Amino acid sequence: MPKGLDVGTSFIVLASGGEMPVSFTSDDQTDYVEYKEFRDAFYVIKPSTPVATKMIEKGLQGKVFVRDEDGKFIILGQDAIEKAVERNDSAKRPMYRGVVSPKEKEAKRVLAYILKEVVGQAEEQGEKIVFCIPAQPVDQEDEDFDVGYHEDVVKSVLSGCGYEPKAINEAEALCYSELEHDDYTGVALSCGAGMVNVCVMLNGEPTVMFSTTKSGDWVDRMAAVATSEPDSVVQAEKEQGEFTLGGPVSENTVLAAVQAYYERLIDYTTKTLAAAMKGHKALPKFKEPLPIVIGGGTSRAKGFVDVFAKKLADNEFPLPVKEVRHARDPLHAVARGCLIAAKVL
Amino acid sequence: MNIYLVGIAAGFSGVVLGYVIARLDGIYSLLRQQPVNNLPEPSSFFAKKHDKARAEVEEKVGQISIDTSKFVTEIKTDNISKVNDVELGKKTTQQDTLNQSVSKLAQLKGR
Repeated sequence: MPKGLDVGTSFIVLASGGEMPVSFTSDDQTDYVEYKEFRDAFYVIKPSTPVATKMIEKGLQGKVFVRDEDGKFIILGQDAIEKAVERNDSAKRPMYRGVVSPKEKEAKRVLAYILKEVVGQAEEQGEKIVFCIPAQPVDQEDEDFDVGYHEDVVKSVLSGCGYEPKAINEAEALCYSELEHDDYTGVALSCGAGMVNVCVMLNGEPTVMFSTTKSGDWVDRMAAVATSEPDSVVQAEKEQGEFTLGGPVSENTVLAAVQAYYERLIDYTTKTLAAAMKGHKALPKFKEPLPIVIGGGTSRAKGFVDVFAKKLADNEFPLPVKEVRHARDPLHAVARGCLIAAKVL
Repeated sequence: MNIYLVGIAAGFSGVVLGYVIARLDGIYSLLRQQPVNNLPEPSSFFAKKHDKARAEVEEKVGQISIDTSKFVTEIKTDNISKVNDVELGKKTTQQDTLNQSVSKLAQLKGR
């Protein structure tokens, strides 16, 4: 059974689909998609004494963690973020700005472990799996940003699990998931934690693809600096707290900072998008106004799409826009697009 | 008589020697005016043929590039051991129009 995999900086989402009965009493079948998501984070605790080892192990009961050969504990996923917050620290990420993190020594190994556990062994040798990769960023020239290497690392892990892996651009996958009723013509933006990926599509063919390196993590980092809190604390506040972009400023200092940086991020992204589109030679002459679809975890903040639409108009986006809309399921849409691509292959 | 002959020969030799010295001095001053670097490169009889052959090789070799992409070393995860049986990943199931989406895209892509 083909699978789709969104290998994101903040979440790894696996999508697989099939048919199931509409109800227990009916023989009619309906399509379904099963998603399996896991927070892409880890936190390392190295016990100093055997007593400490036992204490830590007891404290980690019910949490997702593994032991390394040198005795250290590696807590994984959401539990890693919670443990880091508890210790007033920041959890680590196996990925940074959309690719395997060159900064973390353990990154490759932890990412490989998480991928193997989430994806599991292929049901049959050579089972198809399509996973997403980011586009080359337009706002940063960084030697550490190596999409080719990232792709090879993920391919190597998935091949080891018995799959036949193929890579697809993240925003292209979003187009396949969300532009079905627009004849696969429009613009898709995948606002992940590390990057914003953009794809302009005409009748199912990607014409322009690029990425920018400022997204949700940038908001967390900037808000953390402004409030002197660790990134993980800001991230937790941001995901649990109530705030609306474009609405009244939150009384919570961290959320007020998050609101301010979110609006700057949207302004930056729409300005970059407008600048990239103006006079682009590869851009087709669209006959009809285009739908713009926004997906990704960072876009789940209340008011994101409305502020985005307003800023797009303010920053003189050069193409006629039919509507700016949210993906039906912003966190899972890329994985769904990967699954569709795997089934079409 | 002999003395006259010796004198004439010595005078002639002097004139010839003076001429030679003057010529050498002229060449030397010419060399000083024109730096060695500016002189035309000595060309070998085979030079043209050699350049052509080299250019051809360069053209052919220029099409070949070495793969400088980073080598992916073996990623070992067997030294990480699971402590409990907690499954990684939260599962959710949603009704979807997946097959309809797949058919539409497949038709568009001619598959």
